[in-house]
Amino acid sequence: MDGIDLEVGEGELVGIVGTSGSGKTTLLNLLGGLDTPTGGTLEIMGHSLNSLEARELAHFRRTIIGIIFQVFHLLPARTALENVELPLMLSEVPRARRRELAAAALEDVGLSERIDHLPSELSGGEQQRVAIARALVKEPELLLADEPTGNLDSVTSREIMDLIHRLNRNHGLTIVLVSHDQAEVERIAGRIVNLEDGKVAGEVRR
Amino acid sequence: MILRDQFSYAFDNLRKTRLRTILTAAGVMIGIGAMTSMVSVGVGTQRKVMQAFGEENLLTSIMVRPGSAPNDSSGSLTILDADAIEEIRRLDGVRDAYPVLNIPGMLRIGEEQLFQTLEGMPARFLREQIDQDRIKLLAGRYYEPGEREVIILSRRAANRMVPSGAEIDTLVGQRISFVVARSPGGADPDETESGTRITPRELGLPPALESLPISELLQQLSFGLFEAIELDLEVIGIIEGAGTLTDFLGISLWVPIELVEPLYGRAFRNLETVLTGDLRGDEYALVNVLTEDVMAVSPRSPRSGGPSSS
Repeated sequence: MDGIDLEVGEGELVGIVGTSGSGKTTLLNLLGGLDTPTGGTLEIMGHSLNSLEARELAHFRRTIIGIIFQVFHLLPARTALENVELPLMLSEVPRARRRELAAAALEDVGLSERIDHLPSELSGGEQQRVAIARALVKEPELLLADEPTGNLDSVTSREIMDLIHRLNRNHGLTIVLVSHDQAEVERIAGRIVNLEDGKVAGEVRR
Repeated sequence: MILRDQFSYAFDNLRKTRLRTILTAAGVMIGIGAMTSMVSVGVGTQRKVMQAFGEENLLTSIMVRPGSAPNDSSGSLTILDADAIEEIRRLDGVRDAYPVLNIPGMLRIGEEQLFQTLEGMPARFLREQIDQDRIKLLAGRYYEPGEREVIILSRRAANRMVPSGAEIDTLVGQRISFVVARSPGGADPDETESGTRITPRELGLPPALESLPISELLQQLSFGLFEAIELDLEVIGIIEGAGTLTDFLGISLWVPIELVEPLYGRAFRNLETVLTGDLRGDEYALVNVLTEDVMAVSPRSPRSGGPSSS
């Protein structure tokens, strides 16, 4: 990142586009507290990430942020329900309550019929939906999506993008979406930021 | 994450990936087993070797001989006599010291005869070997301090001497003759009350050697002027090594050290002192020093250069 100045409002769906190596993923890792900035100020929902200790940063990630990745990072030996349940387990939610919340999250992403299936028994789109449900189940204030359709065919990609768009529109969830598919981003994002060599090269509001 | 959830999640994971769990556990078991086995074999072998060495006193025995100290350029010789041995005994870490008195000669029992070496062993050393289970008695008994014309045979020596078909314990109580060479410079046998001067013919040497006077024969064998002394000894016991190396004694003939010492001629003593003519007649060629443990022995300020060790 090089002198980047970006503010994302609550309830916004911001698309980050740019060529490979432009800094999209680095920006997302900084926003998610996965990387630490070497300079400047990074503030999310009133939390200054520069000053957080490792323990506070972990708590921040667990409660404020939801992340979905290009690869789904699902546990292969666990069912869809158990995968979605995992973040709640880390937050020490009682078993019955977390089952209930995980089932509801899967229903939100349209997978209520597939909750007992293993990842290997699900299609790529379904696996990404499980990953989205896992990110949403703890009700984050900010959803970060790093190339969520990178491993999916065009039809499934569109379905996932629609789902992300619906989450923003219906639930008012703040979303920062990184994608190389500029057309899809332009279709759903209210604001598009173009990164080039770690700098904001352009910004379009729709 | 709640502890109960952690355990339940962990065991659930193991249950769900049963094959992987079994293979991993098997791998760990085989790895640990192999490692443990290798270490055990190494430690066991080391212990076995140390035990075998210990049984032969190899780790706690120092052979000391007279001569010049390694860094002494004065040319003075250190003499190992009774006083030197007493001084060695008083060193820290030394539990005993005695001169090594081995006399070659010819053993005769009935029709059997063989050239062998008599080893003079203090009765206290014998007692220590028994107490520490280094040797065991197969037949008869051990000698006590004060006994003289008695002999203990190792199992191999007894096997060589016993008539074919007879048990080795039949040797116990029998008398055997041992002819040794004694130099005129040694103590008078009359003073020792042991041994009788005999003629070469009485020795019953093989015909090829019979034409040679015995003194000439033994001169060639032992570098000196000798006369033959015949000892009449009673076999009182048969022993063998205990523990790992039962055969480490080989063919051994043990007699009280008091029996051998007066016969120990000058030519068996330190060759260096013989050649330089610095001979008093009471010095030893070799002293066996037994230490308390595998440890360094602290030297005291030695008498005129002190004994040297090897």
